[in-house]
Amino acid sequence: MAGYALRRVATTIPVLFAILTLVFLMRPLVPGDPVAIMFFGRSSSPEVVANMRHQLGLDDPLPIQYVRYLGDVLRGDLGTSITTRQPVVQEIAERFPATLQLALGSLAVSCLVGLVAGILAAVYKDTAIDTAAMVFAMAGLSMPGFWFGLVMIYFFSVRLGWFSVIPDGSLKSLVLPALTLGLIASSVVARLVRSAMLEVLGQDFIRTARAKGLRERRVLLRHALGNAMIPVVTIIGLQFGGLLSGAFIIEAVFAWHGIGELAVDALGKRDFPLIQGIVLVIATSYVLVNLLVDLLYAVLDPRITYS
Amino acid sequence: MTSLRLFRSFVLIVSIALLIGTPAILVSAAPHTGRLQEAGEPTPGGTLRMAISEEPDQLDPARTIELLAGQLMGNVLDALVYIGDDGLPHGWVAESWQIAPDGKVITFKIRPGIKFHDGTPLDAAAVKFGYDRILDPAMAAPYKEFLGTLQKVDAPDPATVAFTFSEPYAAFFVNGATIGIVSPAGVAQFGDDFGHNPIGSGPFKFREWQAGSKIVFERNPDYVNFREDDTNKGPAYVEALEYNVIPEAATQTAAFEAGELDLLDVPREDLARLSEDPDVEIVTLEKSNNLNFIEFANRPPFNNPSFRKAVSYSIDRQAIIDLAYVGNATVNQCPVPINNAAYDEALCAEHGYTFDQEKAKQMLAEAGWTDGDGNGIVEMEGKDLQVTLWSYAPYPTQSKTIEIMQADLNEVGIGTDIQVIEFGAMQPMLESGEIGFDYMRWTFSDQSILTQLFKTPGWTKQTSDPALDALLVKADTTVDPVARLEASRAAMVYVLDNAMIAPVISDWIQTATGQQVHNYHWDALVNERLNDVWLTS
Amino acid sequence: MSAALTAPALLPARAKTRTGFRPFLAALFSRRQAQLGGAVVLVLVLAAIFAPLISPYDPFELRVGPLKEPPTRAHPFGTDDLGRDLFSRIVYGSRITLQIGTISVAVAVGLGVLVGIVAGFYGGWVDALLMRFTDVMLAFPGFLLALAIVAILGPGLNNVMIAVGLGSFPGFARVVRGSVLTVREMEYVTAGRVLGATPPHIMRRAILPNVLAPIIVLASLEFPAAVLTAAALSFIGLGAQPPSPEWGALLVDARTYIRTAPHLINVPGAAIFVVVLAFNLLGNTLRDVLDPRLRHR
Repeated sequence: MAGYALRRVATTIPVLFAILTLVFLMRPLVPGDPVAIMFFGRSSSPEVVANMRHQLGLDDPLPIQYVRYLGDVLRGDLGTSITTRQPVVQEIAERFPATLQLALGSLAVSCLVGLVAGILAAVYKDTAIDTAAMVFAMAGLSMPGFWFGLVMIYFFSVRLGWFSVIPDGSLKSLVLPALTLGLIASSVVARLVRSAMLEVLGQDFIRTARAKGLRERRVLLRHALGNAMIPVVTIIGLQFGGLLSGAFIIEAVFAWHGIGELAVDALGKRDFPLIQGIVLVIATSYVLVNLLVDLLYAVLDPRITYS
Repeated sequence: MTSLRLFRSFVLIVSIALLIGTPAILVSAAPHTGRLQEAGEPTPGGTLRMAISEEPDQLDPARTIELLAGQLMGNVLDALVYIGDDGLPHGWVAESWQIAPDGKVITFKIRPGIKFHDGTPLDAAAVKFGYDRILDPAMAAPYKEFLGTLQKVDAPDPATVAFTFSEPYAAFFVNGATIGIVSPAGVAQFGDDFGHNPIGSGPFKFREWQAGSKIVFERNPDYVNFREDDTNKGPAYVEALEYNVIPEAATQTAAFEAGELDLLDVPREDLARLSEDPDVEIVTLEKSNNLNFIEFANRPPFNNPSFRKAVSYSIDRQAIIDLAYVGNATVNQCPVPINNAAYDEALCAEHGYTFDQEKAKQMLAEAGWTDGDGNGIVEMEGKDLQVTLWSYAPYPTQSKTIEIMQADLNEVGIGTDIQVIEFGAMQPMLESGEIGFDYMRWTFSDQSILTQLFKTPGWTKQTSDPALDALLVKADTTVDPVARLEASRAAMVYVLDNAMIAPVISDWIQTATGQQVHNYHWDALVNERLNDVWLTS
Repeated sequence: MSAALTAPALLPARAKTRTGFRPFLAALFSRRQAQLGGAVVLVLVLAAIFAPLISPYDPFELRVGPLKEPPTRAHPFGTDDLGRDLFSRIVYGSRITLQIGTISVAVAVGLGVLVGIVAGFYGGWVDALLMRFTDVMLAFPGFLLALAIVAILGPGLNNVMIAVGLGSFPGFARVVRGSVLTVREMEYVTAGRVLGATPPHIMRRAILPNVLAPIIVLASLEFPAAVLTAAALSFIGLGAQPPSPEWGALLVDARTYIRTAPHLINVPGAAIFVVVLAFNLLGNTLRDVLDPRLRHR
């Protein structure tokens, strides 16, 4: 087990390194000189532009910039935002709590909805309930995010007045965005829970449990669901990584000031240090979350042995 | 009526000659467009809640050129002068000023006793400090360009600041003397972070900046307002200003309708509906500093004046206003915004291009393009004319406008595709000439907009015209306002005669105010004057 | 915001048991979900094919009716803010929707199959290298990756389709590799090798048919995701170019009309929703039918 964990961690390192390299290469690849864009629309003197370029270290050859970039990142320095002149690390750190909140909130929604819909669909397989549950679960996934979000705002905030449109940092203002994003994500969980349940329900120990005369609910919740949870944990891990970053549009619609909004903003302004920082942080956290899930998986699933 | 002051938008004339005896001139005072003052005494208190669609980069005049940042800084920082409704500079922090006969030195007298929010005095040294920061090459201040030919700033005594120019710089008052004055002690305290902790002497103090979500200012209780164009000469009425970051326009409208905002920059699509709401008043500024135009690259067929004239003739500007701007814009044939000193409707009608499809076809024929094969598209040497018109995302009005233009251009035989792209990605494509022609929008107060647009190499690096440069230099270095205006108009006529751009419209500025908001208005440079605003509950 | 939410790794990695096409279809469409989904997809395809016959107006012609008119007999879906007939635009837009889904998925499948088969078949360092690369690509959230690629290639529908395809290929690569690993050790493949069949030959004849099932399932789920990603890119102005009646672009352009002319946002929104849901239902059922573990219960 410890050996497996070590190996799994070791394979992560080249992946992280490759991510770092790709992120570095983004700037030279994307058309548009960040300094020229900063002065876009103003006939700036070459002197001012050259000065800024020098300050940002853009006048060095690429390999030197690369080595410097690696060194900086390893020291935890992701550079300085071109537009705000704040350290990128700080910019991201300021937004991370909001993103984390939204990710956790929508994860809760997607798990709850996904589990209920999945179990119902499995138990009542091939009936109208099955269809209804799966259609409902998939409805969220099929909705264009910002349409869904805007409709939610107009219905619940403007018409009914239940929630404020501008988030005030309270748990209540998390409800609408988390619901929107969570419903979108719940379909994958529902689908997986359904098939995992179906598989488990057909196995011997369930038949045994039923034969022993255990009540159906107990069979379902204690025996079947417990075993079906293992693959579900994996997908939840994957989703969590996606939710950390996949909320660009929902964040924009709900004025939720997380990393997604920061990224779209930074891209529009071609704030390269910031874009690179965000992509790096998101990709890294995604890899780390998956590493964690894999390790957890190994601990959870007694059927799998890792030698 | 608590005040007789109505909001007026006069054509702006920049004059540094006022004090050497040239009479001020007023050009075509515009009808007032703003909100009438309500009866009743202003009541202090309350928080004015507004939305901004993105965060400003930083609130530091030496670090930003963003319009939005300028708008927010206006609450915190006062400047040497303001531009009044008569189009002339008026003393603000500066009590008076003198211009040397050769126009190369301007000396300001600073009012005594003004203090920054941190208690330090706003004196000549502080003024000098602020301008020196922008001039300092190490700062690489993006605003430096707007200081023009300014060479150095001296503060011989606490009440005197002298600006020395290498050549007379006519635009200095609008572009330079209106820059906010920052507290040197504040800059020393916060360093690079000053832009997130601005300290000035204005009607509002910076309170907090919640990363990405809101920026809050609070009333400066000690404020004395020296501006004559504001009604309120003392501290602001409202306790605080709150700017909420709400990127999505539809969400901003929702927040306004849910009563969570006092002011709303109205999406055009919601104007008709909101203006029917008895609880909402729309404040409109028709004579804006906005100019929407088509600009061209320096390559065939776009570098052919006849082709450019054909484009200008083929655009049905009124249809664009009716369909894309829902009626809320004015046809503009001048290459300057309507609220600009150089704007001259008659002159531009004479030299400009109105919607005329026959003339457009004639111009195309002059350029050598005719529809010989009858497919509706003109061709030269058997090759159909096929071009792409660009604009930037994600602004529905922008893309609707070019959709209408596409139909117009196809109508006269210019085969047109359209393409929108994010603003940030446009810059290299404009400068490389890859974008042949595009629909662009500028907001600019001064006559020197022509210099910004066209002086070699031009803002898109697609212009190189020594004859025009000579006209522009003349306008920029002419101190006498009448002579300067003449020089600017000469440049304007040159631009029109050569159809260097195709001016299209000037869109209006419209703000929806809740019924609780009183006395909301802009100044002559279209800055919000929020220390005049008061709220009822 | 879609690619990260699919679950490629959990698809069945088993050889497809030999069944005929007809029983397969019968099994598929005996399910209510598949009937629902299939009917919608059929309508979509028919609309795309016969668009010029169905549309009462030229979808690009301005002012064929009043502006922003709610649905009427003359304009069943109403008119848009430039007076174009929305029904005609939606009908023509179905072509673009189909195109986006098909081409994005084709790019993803092509690349994914290539990488997956090569990695699975050769194993060793080739496998390690390719799979690490896939992992790296997976670590970039799909939407961010698409965004970055469109930023590099420039906006426009073609680049969007390439970007979405590139963003979703790792899922296919993983599934195919998994299938290849299982199939590789089966007797007939080993036999083929012993008999001197070349690797490309084995891949084509023995392995490809057997990884078809998981590919079809994943593709049917990736198709709607691609449509949604394209719509999302329209949101920040990187998607289809005006005056294209791409549904996502219609939706995005209409978002400020949510109160004044709600049909402008609700019609394309509903169109996307129905079609994406239909493909999801179909894909979901395909998965059940093609997964032998579940089918025989």
